[in-house]
Amino acid sequence: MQIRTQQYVGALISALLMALIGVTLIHSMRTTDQAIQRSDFVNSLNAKGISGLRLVTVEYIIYRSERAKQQWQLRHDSFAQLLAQDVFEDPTEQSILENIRQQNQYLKDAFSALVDLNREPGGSVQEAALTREVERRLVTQLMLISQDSVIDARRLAQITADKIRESQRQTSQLLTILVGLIGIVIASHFVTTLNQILTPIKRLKLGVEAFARGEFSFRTRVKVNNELGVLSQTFDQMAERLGETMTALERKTIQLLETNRELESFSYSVSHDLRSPLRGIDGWGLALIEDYGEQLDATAHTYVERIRADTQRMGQLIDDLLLLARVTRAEIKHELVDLSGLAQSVADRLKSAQSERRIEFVIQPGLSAAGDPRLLEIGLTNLLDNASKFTGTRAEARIEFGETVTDEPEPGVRRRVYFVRDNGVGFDMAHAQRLFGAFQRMHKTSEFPGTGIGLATVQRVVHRHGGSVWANAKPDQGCTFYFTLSPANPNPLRMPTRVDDGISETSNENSKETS
Amino acid sequence: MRYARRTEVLLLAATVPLFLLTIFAWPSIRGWYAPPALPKEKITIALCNTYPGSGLLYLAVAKGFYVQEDLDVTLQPYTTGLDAMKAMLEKRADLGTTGDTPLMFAVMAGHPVAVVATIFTAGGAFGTVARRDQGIESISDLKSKRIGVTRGTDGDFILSTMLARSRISPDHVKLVPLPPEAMVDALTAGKVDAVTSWEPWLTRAQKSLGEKGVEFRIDSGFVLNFSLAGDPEWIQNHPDKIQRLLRALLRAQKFADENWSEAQAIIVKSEQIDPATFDTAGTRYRFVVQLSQGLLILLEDMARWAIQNKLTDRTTVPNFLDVIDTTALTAVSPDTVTIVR
Repeated sequence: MQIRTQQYVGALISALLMALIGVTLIHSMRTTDQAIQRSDFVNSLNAKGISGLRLVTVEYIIYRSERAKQQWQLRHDSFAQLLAQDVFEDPTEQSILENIRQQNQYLKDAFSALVDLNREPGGSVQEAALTREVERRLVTQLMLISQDSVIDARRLAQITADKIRESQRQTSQLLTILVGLIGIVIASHFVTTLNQILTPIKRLKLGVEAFARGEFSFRTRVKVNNELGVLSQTFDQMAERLGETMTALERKTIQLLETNRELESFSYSVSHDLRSPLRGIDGWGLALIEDYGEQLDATAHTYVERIRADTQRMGQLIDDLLLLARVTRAEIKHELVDLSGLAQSVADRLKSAQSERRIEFVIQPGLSAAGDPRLLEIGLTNLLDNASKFTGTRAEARIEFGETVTDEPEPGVRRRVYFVRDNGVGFDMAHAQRLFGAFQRMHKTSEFPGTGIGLATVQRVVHRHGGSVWANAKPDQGCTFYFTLSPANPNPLRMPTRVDDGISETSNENSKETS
Repeated sequence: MRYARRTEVLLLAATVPLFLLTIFAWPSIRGWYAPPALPKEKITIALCNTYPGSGLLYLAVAKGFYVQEDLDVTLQPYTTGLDAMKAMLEKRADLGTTGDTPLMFAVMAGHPVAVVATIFTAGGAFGTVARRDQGIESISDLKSKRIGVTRGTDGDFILSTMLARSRISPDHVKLVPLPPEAMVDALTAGKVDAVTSWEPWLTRAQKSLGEKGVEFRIDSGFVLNFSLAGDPEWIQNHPDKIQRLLRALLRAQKFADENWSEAQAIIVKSEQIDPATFDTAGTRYRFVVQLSQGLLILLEDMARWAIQNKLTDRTTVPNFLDVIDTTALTAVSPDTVTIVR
C-alpha cells in the first residue's frame, strides 16, 4: 500500500473512531440528563408530595384542625398534579408511578373517610367505641398507604439510579473498546511506519553514507510496496550504474597513468639521449673553428657559429624538458619554505647576472608556505626569470613578489594568493589559455629568447602542490602571475556584495614570454 | 522486509480477534473463577394454593430459580394460609405462608414464629358477598344476619372492619365459622345470608348467586400482606438456606415485574385459582419481597382489634418487632427492608 493511501486510511479510521467516541459521549450525556431529570422528579415525589402529606396527616390526626385539613387537600392536589406528569418510558417505572397515583387516590379516600367520621360523632357508648375502632383502622390505613408510596418512590429512585449506573457502565465499556481500537490503530500505524517507512529510510541513509565513502557496491534491497520501495529500487539501479562507471573510470585512469609514465619515461630518455650527440655536434663545431678556422672563409665561420648556436639552443630546450620531466616525476616533500628568502636569493642571482640593467626587485618579507623547497625554487626562479626577461626593454624594470587577496579565479570567493608582478611588455589576455602549455610562445624568439617550457614547469610545480596558477595582463602594461600552493584555502574570504577594490596590483606595463 | 510485513499482518490478525474475544467472552472468563457449586439444600414450604399470594413460590419453581440457588424445595399446598401456618407450627414444614391475621394470632398465642419476608400484598382482595333476597343491599343491612367467615383469617378482620365502618357491632351479627371452600355452597344453600372471604372465593360466590347476590369490597387502599414465616430457632440455624430462598424469590419478583403476563399464566396454572382472579376490578396485587414498616403497623392494629373483641387471652399488644427476622433479607437485598430499626 502506498504511503499516501496508508495515511488516508489511518486518518479515516481514526476520524471514524473519534466520531464514534463523540457520538457515545453525546448519547451518554443525553441519557444521563434524562436520568437526572427523572431522578429530580422522583426526589420531588418524596420531598414535595409524600413527606408533606404525611406531616399534615399526623397534624390532623392529633389536632383535627381545619387548617391541617385544608393544607392536606392543597398538598394532595399539587401532589396529584405532579403525579400526572408522564416522565417515564419504561413499563416497570410507569407501573410503579401508577401505583403511587392509585395510592394517592386511596389516601384521599381514607382521609375523607376520617374527616367524615369526625363529622358524625357516635351517640351511644357502643357506637363511640366502634367509631374509635374505625378511626384507628383508617389511621392505620393512611400510614400503610403512605408507607407503600414511600417504598414505591424508593424503588423508582433505585431504578433510576441503576439506569444511570448502567448507562455509565455501558459508556465506559464502549469507550474502553473504542480506546482499545484506537490503540490497535496506533500500534498498526507504528508497525507500518516502522516497516514501510523508517526501515527503508534507514537503508537509504546507509546507502547514501556508503556512496559518500565511495562504496558503490552497497544495495538497499528494500522490498516495500510504496514510494520508498520505488525510490530504493531506483537507488539500487543508480548504484549499479555508478559502480560500472567508476570501474570503467578507474580502469581508464590506470591506463592513463601508465601511458603518462611511459610518455615521461620516453621524453626523459629521448632528451637524455639527445644531449650526447648535441654536445658532440657543438664540440666538433668548436674543434672545426679552432683547428681549421684559418682555412675557412667568413661565410663558413658564420655557418659553423649558427650550427653551434642552434645546437646550444636545442641543448637548452632539452635541459628544460628534462627539468619539466624531473618536476613531474620527483617525489614531493612537505616542509615550511621561506618563500621571501627564496625569492630574494633568485632576485640577487638575476641582478648579478644582469648587472648592466636597472632592475628593482620588491620582495614582501616574511612569506612562507608548506611545500617542497626544491620544486618551489624551480617555480619561483621560472616566474622571476620570466619577469626579468620581459622587462628587458624597460629602462627601469620593477619586479614584485608578494601576497595579496583576490577573488580570482573564482569570483565571489576571496582568498590569499602569491603573486609575481612586473612592468614588462604584458600580453593579450585573448591568448591566455595557451600561456601554460609546453612550447607555447606569445612573442618571437628573436624578441625574447626562450624554450616555451618555463611556465609549463611553473604550472606543474604548482599543481604538484595542489594549487593553481593563472595570469592577468594587458599588452604593454605589464603582467601579474598569481598562484596558490594548496587545493583550497582553509579560510576563504567571502567577497562583499559590493566590490570596490578588486585586484589593485595590475599596474606596470610588461612584456613577457609565455613559454 | 517481506518477513517484517508478514509479521505485521499476523500481529494485526491475532490482536484484533483476541481483543474482541476477550470483550465478548469476559463473563465466561469470569465464570472460570466462580466458586464451585454448593450442595443442594432441602427445604419444605407449606403454602396456600388457593390464593395468588403464593405466586412467587410457584414462579420460582417454574423458572428454575430454586435450582439456580442449589435448593431442593418441596411445596406443601393447603387451602388457607392459616392451615399452612399450622403445618409449619406443627413442624410438618420448615416454613409456611401466612396472612397477617393468622400470624398475629400465632404470636398472641405465644407460638414460636418469625417472619422472614412478605412475599405478596393485596389491596381490595377481600370483601363480602350477600344475598339480596335476605334484604341486604348495603353493609348496614348485615345487622342481625348470619355471616359466614373463616375465623382467625384476614377475612375475620376485614369483616369486623367493614361492620365497624357501618357502626355494626360484632354482637349484632351471627358469625358462622366456615372454611373458604365451603362458603359458596353455604351461601347458595341459604345456610348463611352473607360470606366474607377473599379471592377467588368472592368471585365464585358472586357468580353462584348471580343477580341475587350483592358484593361489598373493602376499598383498594386497604392492603394486607402475605408473608413467609417459620420457627425462629430453625431460621437462626439455617441462615444460608433462607438467604438462598429469598434470592430465588427476588429473582421470581424481577421476572414477574418484567414479564407480568407470563408470570400470571404460570401462577394461574400452578394454583387452584381462576384466570379471571387477576382481572377482578378493584383488586391490587403486588408480588413483592419486602419487610416493611406497614407490616408492623398492621399486626399491631390487628392485635388491638383482637384484644378489644376478646378474640385472644392476651390483654396487651406484643412487640411484633421481635417476630420479624430481618437478618436474611437485609443480607441479600437491604433496600427491601424498610422496617425502622
